[in-house]
Amino acid sequence: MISENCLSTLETDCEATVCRWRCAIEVIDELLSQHSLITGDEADDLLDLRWTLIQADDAEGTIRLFCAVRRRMEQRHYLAFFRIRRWLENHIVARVVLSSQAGEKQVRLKLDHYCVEAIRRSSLCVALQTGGVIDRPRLRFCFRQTQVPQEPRRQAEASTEQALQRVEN
Amino acid sequence: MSTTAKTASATNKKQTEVAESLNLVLADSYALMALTHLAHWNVEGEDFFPLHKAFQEQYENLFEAIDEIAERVRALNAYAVGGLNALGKLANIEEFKSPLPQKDYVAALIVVHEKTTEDAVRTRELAGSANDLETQDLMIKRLQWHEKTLWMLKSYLKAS
Repeated sequence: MISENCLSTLETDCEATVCRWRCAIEVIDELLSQHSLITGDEADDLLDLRWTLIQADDAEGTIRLFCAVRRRMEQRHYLAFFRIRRWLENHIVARVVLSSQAGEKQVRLKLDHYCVEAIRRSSLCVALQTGGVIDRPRLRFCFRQTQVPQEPRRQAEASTEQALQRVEN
Repeated sequence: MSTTAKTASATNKKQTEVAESLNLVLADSYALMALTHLAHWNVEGEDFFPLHKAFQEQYENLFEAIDEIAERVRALNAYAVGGLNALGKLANIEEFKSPLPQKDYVAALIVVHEKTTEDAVRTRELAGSANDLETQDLMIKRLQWHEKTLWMLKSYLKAS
């Protein structure tokens, strides 16, 4: 179970104020607690990913790191990575500008690929399907505009210390 | 209000809560059945045969359970929720899009089983506090099945 009251990965429930922003972090914590199933390097990567999720200010970096950790660990922890993947898909969007004349389009993130370049390409393709001319397109990944409540954020940062201690022990 | 009337009113309130909670489990089970059926139809890949067969067994179990849960709602003097729209809205479960990799079908179904389990646990507890042993018994039976199915689905996802 991920957490109490955490129903699924339903997008409409995924507003930060409703708490679900911590789901991915909780899944990572669960992985970190399985000492015998993860290596030291994997624990380091998971802690880095956890930190980028708490900061929530570098969506592309988060996807890049997620892809690296996913390639390394997914086969052994499929369900955990499915949950993190769905969480990211609900919390990060691709903002696309197809040409200098066109306005910005928002595209739902689909993490069907294992590297950020392929995800970027597929997001661009989705944006193109809605029509428009492509000319020096720009795409950036952003966390959805949701206000993370300060108290849970502080709690999560404090729990990073605990997660580190668990790994060290 | 007399003591007898107060007791009767409290009992009715508890019974209504149990029926509402049962309706939620009914909606969850219906949504889960539909998604399991979808997985049964569209799953592809090297494990097609075992997954196709396992999903069939699961949606057949859910189909029977739905009838039993709905009839329990009626036995509590309430009406069973119905209609795809109403059931979907009440269950509030993400519908996955097909096609998916075969492991994603299993993972997505696990998430829905977990949601259904949480609601069934809540219903079992409500029924216990209402002294409604029949509903409690039904929820225990459902929980045993969901937990067993979760174990099987999770085992499938474990790396060989």
